[in-house]
Amino acid sequence: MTAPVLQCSNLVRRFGDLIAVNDVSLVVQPGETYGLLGPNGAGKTTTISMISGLLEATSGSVEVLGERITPSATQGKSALGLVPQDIALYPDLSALENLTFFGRLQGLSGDRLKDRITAVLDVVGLADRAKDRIDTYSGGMKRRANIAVGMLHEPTLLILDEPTVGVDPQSRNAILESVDALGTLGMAVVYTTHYMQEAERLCDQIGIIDEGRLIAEGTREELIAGLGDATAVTVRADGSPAAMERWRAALTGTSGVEAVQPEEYGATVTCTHASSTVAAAFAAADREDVVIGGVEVVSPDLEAVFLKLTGRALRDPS
Amino acid sequence: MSATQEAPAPVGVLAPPSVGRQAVLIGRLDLRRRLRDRSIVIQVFLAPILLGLIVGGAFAGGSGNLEATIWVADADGTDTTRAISQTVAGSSEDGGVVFRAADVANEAEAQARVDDGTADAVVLIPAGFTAAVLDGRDAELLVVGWAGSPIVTGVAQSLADGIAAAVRSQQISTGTAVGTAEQLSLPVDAAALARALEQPELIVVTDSRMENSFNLISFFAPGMAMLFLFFVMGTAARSILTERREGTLDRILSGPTSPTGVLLGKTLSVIALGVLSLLTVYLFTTFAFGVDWGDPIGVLLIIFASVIAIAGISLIITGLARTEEQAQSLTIIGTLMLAILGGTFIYTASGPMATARAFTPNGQAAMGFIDLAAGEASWVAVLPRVAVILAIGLVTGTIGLLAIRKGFAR
Repeated sequence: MTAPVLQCSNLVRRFGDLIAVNDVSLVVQPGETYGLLGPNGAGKTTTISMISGLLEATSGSVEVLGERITPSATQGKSALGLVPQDIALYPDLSALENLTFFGRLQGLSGDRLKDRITAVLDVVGLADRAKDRIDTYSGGMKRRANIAVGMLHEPTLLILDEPTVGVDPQSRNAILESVDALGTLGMAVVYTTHYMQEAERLCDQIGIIDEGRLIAEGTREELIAGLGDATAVTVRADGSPAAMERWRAALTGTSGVEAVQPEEYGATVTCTHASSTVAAAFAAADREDVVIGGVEVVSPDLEAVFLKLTGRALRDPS
Repeated sequence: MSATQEAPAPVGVLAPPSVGRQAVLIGRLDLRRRLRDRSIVIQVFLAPILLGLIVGGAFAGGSGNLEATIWVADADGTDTTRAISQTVAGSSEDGGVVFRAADVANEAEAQARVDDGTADAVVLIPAGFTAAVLDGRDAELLVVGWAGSPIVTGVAQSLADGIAAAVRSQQISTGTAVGTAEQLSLPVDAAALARALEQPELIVVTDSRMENSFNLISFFAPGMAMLFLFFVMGTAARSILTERREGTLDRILSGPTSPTGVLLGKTLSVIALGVLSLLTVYLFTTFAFGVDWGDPIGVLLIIFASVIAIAGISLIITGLARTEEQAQSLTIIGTLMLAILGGTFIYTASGPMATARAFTPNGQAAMGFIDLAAGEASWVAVLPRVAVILAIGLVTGTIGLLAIRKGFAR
């Protein structure tokens, strides 16, 4: 069995009384893309910060290629590439200058540095804008330049912290294609996101994190299989706030219903029997003066897994 | 992004650069960015030249030398005090600082002469001075000056100190002679003793830095340059905090770069900025106003040591501040405190402020520059001051580095 690229053991991080990360353990194998999926504030970035040696763990350990990673240990960090959530580039320098600076800090020089810069600029599609200042780029281009710096030195483990937040759909798709390619090239990737679709598309292994705890882990299929017979039903409904509240409460108490997630449009219900749930939803609507506008039974997905595990949706209602 | 492009496969872990190389890379980038946004041009060239023009313009009129009239007023009227005032009045030549014997009855009159500009300062020998000395009581000389002319007042203070020292030494030797004669049971000639007391050997001691040849620009230019240096360093102190806010610091530290490499790099760029800034003031005032700063090696040594010391203080500011705004406020507070304690605003020849000056890098530097400018000190003579300034830099730098490293370890 090959040695893991990343091994996190019982990671804990406290900020005063708040436990931001609570006993998180995970292993990433060579060439594997590991998705850390969770809502905002779940502890993803704190976990990433400990993995990349920016934050001291209160307890537990991080090892990359067998080297212990801490803020003061620089030995194992050469194997890491970090793409932070926010753009971490010098805005007054060009992409070429940023890449040259960060490449040299990683130990690249001469022709090898030039070759690597050319290669990553091609990968992120910024070759023709390489000499332009970063502050003249669009948001999507900045994100791509941000990724280019992270993969410049061909790290064994690339960490991407929500790389698609705030980008347009076109750039988002381009970023996902690029990350998809990294996995096939033998680079291990840790990818944090709160977008279920991204985790489903990119990741070989998915860890679901909520309130600092890793509450489930496995492949997409394994996680969905964990739902058992559960099905997700989205119900569009309208009524006064008080009536909607009573209607959701009635649904929650229905036999076979595992979780009811309030949505702006109505509710998403995780249940074992879709037909009886739909019937119960209509009956409760009659009683509580709520009008049902539509019902959809959806295939089980990671959203449903999260809903079942936490009783809440992955994303805030919007 | 091109989906058809393939990134090369990972080729293994690279050997990270040495800490020294990391520091050079970070320092060079810092300077490059400052050059690009032109802040380096303002901080290192334009502002120091403007500063030189202001100081030069203010003090370069005429000879540019210190010119003042200091009165020595004898309100006691004894033979001793007459001898003192006449000796002092005869000790100066025309031009520069002139000492003049004058009739002034009391402090109020002395103050009036200073206020109306007749005299720049008055050393008043009060009535009863000789009697107090003969009786072995404390005797005081009064110095009246204008707060706006601290240097002239300092000269008058030095003169008064010299008079007091001469009288005291005469008093001690006379007392010793009388005591010895009594112990040996020898007859004491009271008249001879009185004559000895009334004809003191008067030595007027004037601080060398206050001599006529001293150029005022040489006093103010280094002081102002040091003050300006604090602000330059403050800007540099904020650069680490800016990088933290922009996320580039985290990106650097997530790689094989050590916190020491980052701090050394930032400090290197700060030192380069500071040295260039002070060198500009030095060269500009030298060539534009003909200021003689003294031994160039001594000047360069003090400049380098001062920059190290102020870099150390700026590291403390970086360590204490959590935001760029805090760093800016701390820089202003620190600059004002050091300027006051170091005598940049108000020069005092004695007292607690003069003592405090010895513990500030700018105070030590100013005294070193003055020693050199007066032409009496070589670079070897200012080495003790350079050592003190470097020691201040070492202590403050160490404290600052510890504070910053603590901040890095989140």
